[in-house]
Amino acid sequence: LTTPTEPFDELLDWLDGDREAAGKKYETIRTGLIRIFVSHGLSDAESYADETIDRVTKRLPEIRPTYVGDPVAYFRGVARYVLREAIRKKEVAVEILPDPVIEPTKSSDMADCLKQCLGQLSQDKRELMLDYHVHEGQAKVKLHMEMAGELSISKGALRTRVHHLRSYLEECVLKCVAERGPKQNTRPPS
Amino acid sequence: LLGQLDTENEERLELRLLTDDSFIEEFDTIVDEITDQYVRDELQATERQQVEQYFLKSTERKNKARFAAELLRAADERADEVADTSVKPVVPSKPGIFERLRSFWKTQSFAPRLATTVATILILVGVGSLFRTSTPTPENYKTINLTISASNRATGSKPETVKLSPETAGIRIELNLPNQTEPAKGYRVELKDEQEASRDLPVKEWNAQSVIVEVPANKITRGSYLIHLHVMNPDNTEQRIRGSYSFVVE
Repeated sequence: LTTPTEPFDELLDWLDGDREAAGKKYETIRTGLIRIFVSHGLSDAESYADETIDRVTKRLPEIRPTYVGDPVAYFRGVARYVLREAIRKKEVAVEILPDPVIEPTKSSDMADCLKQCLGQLSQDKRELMLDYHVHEGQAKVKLHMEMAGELSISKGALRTRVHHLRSYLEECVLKCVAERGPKQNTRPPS
Repeated sequence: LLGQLDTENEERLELRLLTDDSFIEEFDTIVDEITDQYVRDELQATERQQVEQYFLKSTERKNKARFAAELLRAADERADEVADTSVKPVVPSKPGIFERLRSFWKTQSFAPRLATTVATILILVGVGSLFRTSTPTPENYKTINLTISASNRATGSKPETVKLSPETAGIRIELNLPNQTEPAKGYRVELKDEQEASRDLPVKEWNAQSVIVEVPANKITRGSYLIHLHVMNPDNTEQRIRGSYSFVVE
């Protein structure tokens, strides 16, 4: 057995004695924290998630000997503090009206990047992605059942498959757009 | 997601987000679905308001919505392309009723032919007198209201069905215009049958919300139909509105 020496090692050790399981738990906590901050309307959720983890890591030597219960509850408690502070800062800052969701034009960076990223997918995946998203309302349910039948998978498995593809595509497109620099959608400073 | 949970449920949800990978995945999928519904304008007014005030507050979600708008548009464009380029297999046509009657007629001798002719005349007179009492009038047009869809005939949802009876004079088709349609000088309505044969239908009337056409019953047969709508621009150019309207005549 090795004794954790670095604060981060100690954090992992607190999460689980098994290093691999601890790594997985850490990733889940970080991903969950990002979802929580985004859901509360905070931009740059990743930095708030990291801030939460940093605070827990720093407090750990102090709390660990007496803490009882699941560590995630402690992470959540700290996240609430971080969230409250962030909201307070936002309230102090100049009120900025939310940007309306602008439908991008065909020539926009987003359209170009989507084309580029779709091009990186195999034809099967590209068609799956586009066909899955084509229908509206009730017709969508019927089509998804047909698509799942054609692929011999359940509707849930199809949903998951498309979700993974969509996550990849979204990340690819947003990265591509960011690399192209500031966009026309950026609000000028008031 | 829409800021409606009480404290207790919010805590429960957040703890699951911090512990359960599959729950995070489900959560993300629902976020995608809400985003798509918002972009597709499928939400009710109050839901839409909640989405704008709460769900779309962060930059991440706004970017997600922009991405979704582009993705859905690309999907609709592909559906349109598939609909436009779909090639129907060439099926040898079955002989029609008149062809079958003609071949039957040729095989008969004089006496049965005469008897059949007399019987036919009597039947026609009888049917004619029946029709005189129930001649279709313009009021006997059946009205169907169609909404444009990105789907094609092969993959689309169940289209509107209209049943024609002898009393039906024709079909009055009301084509709802998509919300974002620009003011137009006029419209051209193109009707396509199952063999992809197309013809224009005269426009009866149109306004900012819809275009109305009428098809007499004797000008349409059983089968499924697609309608493509073309906008006549003020500069006399023509532009097709994406998507199509579909219906079935029974």
